[in-house]
Amino acid sequence: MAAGAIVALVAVPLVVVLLSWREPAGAVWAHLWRTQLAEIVGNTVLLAAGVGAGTLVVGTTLAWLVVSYQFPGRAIFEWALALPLAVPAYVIGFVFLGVFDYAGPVQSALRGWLGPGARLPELPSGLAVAIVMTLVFYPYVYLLARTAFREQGLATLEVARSLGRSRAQAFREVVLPMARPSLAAGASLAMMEAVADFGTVATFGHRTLTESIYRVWTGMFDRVAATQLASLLLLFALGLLALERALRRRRRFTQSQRRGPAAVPVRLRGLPAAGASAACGLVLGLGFVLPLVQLTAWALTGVRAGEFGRDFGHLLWSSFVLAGTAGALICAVALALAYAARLRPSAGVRFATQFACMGYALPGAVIAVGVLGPVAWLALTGSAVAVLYAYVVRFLAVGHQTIEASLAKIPTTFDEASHSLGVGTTATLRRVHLPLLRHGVLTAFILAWVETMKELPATLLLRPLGLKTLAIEVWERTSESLWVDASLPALAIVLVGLVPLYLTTRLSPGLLR
Amino acid sequence: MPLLRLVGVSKRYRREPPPAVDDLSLSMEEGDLLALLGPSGCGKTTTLRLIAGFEDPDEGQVVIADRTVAGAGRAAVPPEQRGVGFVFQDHALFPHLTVEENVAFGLHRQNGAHRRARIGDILDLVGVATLASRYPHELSGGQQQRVAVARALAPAPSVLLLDEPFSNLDADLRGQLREDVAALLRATRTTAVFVTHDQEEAFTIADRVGVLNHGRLEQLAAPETVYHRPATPFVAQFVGAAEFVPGVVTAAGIVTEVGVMPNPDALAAGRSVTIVLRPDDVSFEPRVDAGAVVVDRQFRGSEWLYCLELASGRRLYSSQSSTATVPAGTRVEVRVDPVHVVSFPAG
Repeated sequence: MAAGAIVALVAVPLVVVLLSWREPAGAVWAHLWRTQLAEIVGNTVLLAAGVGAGTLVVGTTLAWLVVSYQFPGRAIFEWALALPLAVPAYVIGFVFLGVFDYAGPVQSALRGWLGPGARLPELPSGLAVAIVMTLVFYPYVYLLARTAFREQGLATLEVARSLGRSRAQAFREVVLPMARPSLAAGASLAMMEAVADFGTVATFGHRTLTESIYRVWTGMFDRVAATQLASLLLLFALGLLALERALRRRRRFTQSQRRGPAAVPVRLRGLPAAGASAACGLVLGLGFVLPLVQLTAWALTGVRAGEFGRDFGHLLWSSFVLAGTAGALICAVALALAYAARLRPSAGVRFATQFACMGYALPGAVIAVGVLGPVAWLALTGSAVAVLYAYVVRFLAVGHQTIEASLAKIPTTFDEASHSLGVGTTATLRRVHLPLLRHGVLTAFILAWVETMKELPATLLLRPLGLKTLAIEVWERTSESLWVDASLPALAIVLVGLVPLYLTTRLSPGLLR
Repeated sequence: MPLLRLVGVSKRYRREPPPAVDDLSLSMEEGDLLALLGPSGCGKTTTLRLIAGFEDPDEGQVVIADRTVAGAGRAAVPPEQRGVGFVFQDHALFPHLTVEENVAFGLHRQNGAHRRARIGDILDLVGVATLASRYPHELSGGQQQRVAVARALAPAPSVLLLDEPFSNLDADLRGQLREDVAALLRATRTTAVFVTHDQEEAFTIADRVGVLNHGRLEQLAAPETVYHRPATPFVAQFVGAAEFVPGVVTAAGIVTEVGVMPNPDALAAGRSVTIVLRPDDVSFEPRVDAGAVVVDRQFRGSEWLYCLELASGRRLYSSQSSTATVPAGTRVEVRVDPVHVVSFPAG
């Protein structure tokens, strides 16, 4: 029952998006078709491909360096290289724009040295976006690659070397092929994020599907055309999701059973050691340290100028409350879903779970467009209900994964023991499961809360007039190139974003360490 | 009036035969201690779960204290309404509750004073009164087991079910706990069914032993009957070591290659049978020109277990006191003197 209702909850926006083709394409769509659609779709595909390739190269290289070599700073890089995950792409995007802007510190310094005519060549927007996204999304590949290399790589490396392969040959012929499913799964996650991103592409003025949905929606007020664009985006996302799921299944088969002592990393000296440290330092510097330092600098300037007063307090509060409400809703729905699966582990419930947790792969823009239909029908347009609905669909997987994992840790004999002592199902949930799930639910709440706080496209499309969140504030100030005004809310988002990284480290030490 | 009755109970998890539990019937009087014995996968745990109500039978009925709790076309009574206690193999103590709170868990329908008195009594009874305020992770395996028994006994269930309750414990601890629990169950006149794959455990605790194989109850009888008068070749082999020797019934008795055995069941002459020989039925004398030879021996502490090869190539086992030792290679004359001759139709 509960599972069915939850499936309907997630399915409705998808169906709305897919059914958009039954309505006749309007003038806007015809115009798009004639002029920009090819460019938009092409840009989206190229961006996904570029980010996929970029994250693969960066993530795999760094993971291999960190796992198999010893060089200065390795112990820190090992976990710190995951930090860029805490920074939303649109934040790094605007920081880069601000830093490399004509009026920014880099170009100003160049003019100071080389005279007033000196300027940096302008990168094509597509390349700039791909670079920024690579810097933020490479940790998906890095983390999965590092696990794969650790679990199987070094052991098989030793086998290959005992059979007469050099280190480089062994890496190419054995380690890399064995880790391929993990690498590809990480890259497909990065590509999902790239396709779903709105803030970065909009900041750089790069035309992709998400950006067009927003433009068609808010600029031309054409709901049908926006929905039809969203359906294209949905197809992309589902394709990447299918890829990722297929790869994840394969990854299980390739897991090596061999668990010997970890092979000792090779100590690098001299130039190679410096090179390895520099490579890790460059990526971490660009993806995390530089943005953080620049944001802090801007924020200090703003604070000294008295920019952030009580308004910022209000903003922080409304953002926290909205995300907190979403987090609580997500936990409640996730708990119902996980509990349904425990009570009746049928194929139907398994499917419902898989389906309901698909939201993590769906771009916020698609969900927003899909949510608007049912919300309008209920006459709730422009209320916080629409935003919350979208958040639940988008981030249910985040809460469910955590709650499901901690529920699975409770042996079924506990349920049976409780029943055999004369205690019914509801009382068992209250007296046995909930006390044991406390930490899991709290963690799920925090993770969902943080994700919601960072969310931009769905919030932007669905928010009621006057509702502001940190992400919205960043977006609005950024689009006016008011870097200083955007810096403090952005800094708040980054700091909040560090919490899940810390939590996942504590919960599964293998993930980050 | 039987307290617990299973009538033709069957349970299938898969379409293919055999079922996990196959047409099983048994009945128990109040205060009975029954052991279900069998190899892993024989259906003994499933039987226990069917009684508890964690599973519903596909066919047959479960009757507890004259109330049909499963089968007979009605919806099964859920476990929480059956009044059965269950002791789990992994103890399943609630980790967020203290020993006292664990024991109190099933007493939610009793008022405060009555409940406190009951908790005190039961903790005393199982010998963990001093541990009342500890959490499960602060207890040893044996203590956890005692608390698990206390928790299951606290609501005074009509039947107590124990699923391999001692299998997670060290060997020396197991013996002690086994005796304590058995004494406790007898003192409280608790009707109990416990599942085990350890025949020694079944024999020492139970009044009656049910031997299960492929979901079928092969024999249900007192321990000594199961050992000395196994009803099927499977029981003979599973309960204690057994060798099977072919023989033919004649007017003089059952003729085998190790001698002529009595024919207490008065089988008709001319029939081919297989007789069961246990190591303690077989003895031997060294003799230089004898047909059998000692091929191997294992030291078992109080006795030697010898492996003898007969002239026909058949091997028999013989257990002998460890005071004398016969080396491998010694030629011996085999003598067989079974207390009970058990025979099955040859086939």
